[in-house]
Amino acid sequence: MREKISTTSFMCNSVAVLIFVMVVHVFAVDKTSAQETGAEGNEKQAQIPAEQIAQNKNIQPKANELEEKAASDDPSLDRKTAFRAVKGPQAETIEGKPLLFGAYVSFLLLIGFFLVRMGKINGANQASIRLLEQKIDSQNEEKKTENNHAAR
Amino acid sequence: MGRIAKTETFVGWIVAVLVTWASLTAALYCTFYVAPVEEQMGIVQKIFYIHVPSAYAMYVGFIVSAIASLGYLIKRKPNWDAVAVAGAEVGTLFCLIVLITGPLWARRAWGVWWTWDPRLTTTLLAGMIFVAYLSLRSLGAAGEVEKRFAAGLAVFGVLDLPLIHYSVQKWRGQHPTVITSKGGGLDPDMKLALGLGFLAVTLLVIVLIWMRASLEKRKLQLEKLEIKINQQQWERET
Repeated sequence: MREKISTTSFMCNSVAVLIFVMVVHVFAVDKTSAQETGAEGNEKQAQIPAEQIAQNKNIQPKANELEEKAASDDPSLDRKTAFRAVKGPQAETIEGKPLLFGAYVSFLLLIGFFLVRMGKINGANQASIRLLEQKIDSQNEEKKTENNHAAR
Repeated sequence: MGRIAKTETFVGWIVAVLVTWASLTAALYCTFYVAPVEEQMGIVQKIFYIHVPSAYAMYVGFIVSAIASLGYLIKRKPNWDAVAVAGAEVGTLFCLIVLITGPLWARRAWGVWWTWDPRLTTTLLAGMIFVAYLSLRSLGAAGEVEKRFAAGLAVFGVLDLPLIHYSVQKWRGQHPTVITSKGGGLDPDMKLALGLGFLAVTLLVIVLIWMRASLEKRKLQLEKLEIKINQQQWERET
């Protein structure tokens, strides 16, 4: 009976999770397409420093290339596909050091937290071992007294 | 003979932990002292060297959990279940790291902490599925039915991983794709830092899953032994 219930509930929950996944993906895709206009604005914003850099380096972006990029359906053209090392002095708008520090500290803290948690589980296991040892000892003593009684 | 085996296991543990620690130190050194600063993002790009290996470790954890869960559903042996729990916990840990380090990078690169980009959304979804798995397992003493249900959830949850991986190719989004089959757009020193990051995190994920699975196996053995002793006591009393 319990097995039947569990199988049914598993199926129901699987379907529910599947629907949830689909809704989230539809939402994500809709949001992305709805934000395309906004995304274009963001791209323009993101292009400002790139254009400034290009002007500084006396490089004029080719209009044809930009048009081709915008017209293309390849999503990979919309995103950054390479990281390059800085040449010369750098200027940052948002201070990156606290963010970098935060990322590595949170990584180390979470690993440390997990190790502490495993230590606690190990401690609980040790406590169970001690408890079981006590139980076995008391059972053995009971057995001994019973045997002594029987012998008398 | 048993003592020798125990000593060998202990030495194995020590060596594994030391090698992991050394590789992690080397990876951190390379990240901060060898890898150059990226020209547009600045210093915050260095989050990449821990963010990407953590995402890979998340994949490893969840896949291990799903395979072991499948093994448990077929064989019904507690060792499979112990490995499944270990994989799910370690995978969720690295998923949390990815979901923390990603927004810290995004704040500088995109100007926002979070956006409903397909890769971000699917990663969050994978994390939520495995948090549900762990919640189910932690609700009191998990019985056979709960364990099987949780195993089914883990197998189901791993289906989200291909969505995470291919979301950047199939859907438009903002997430960068620096590592591709055509070769990554990375400076050689950046490649070194990333390679060491991958090595360190791979060793770390193996050690953590191994340790956690051993603890879970011992816990299951103790539970079994306790039931046996209580049963013996009850039989004697009656």
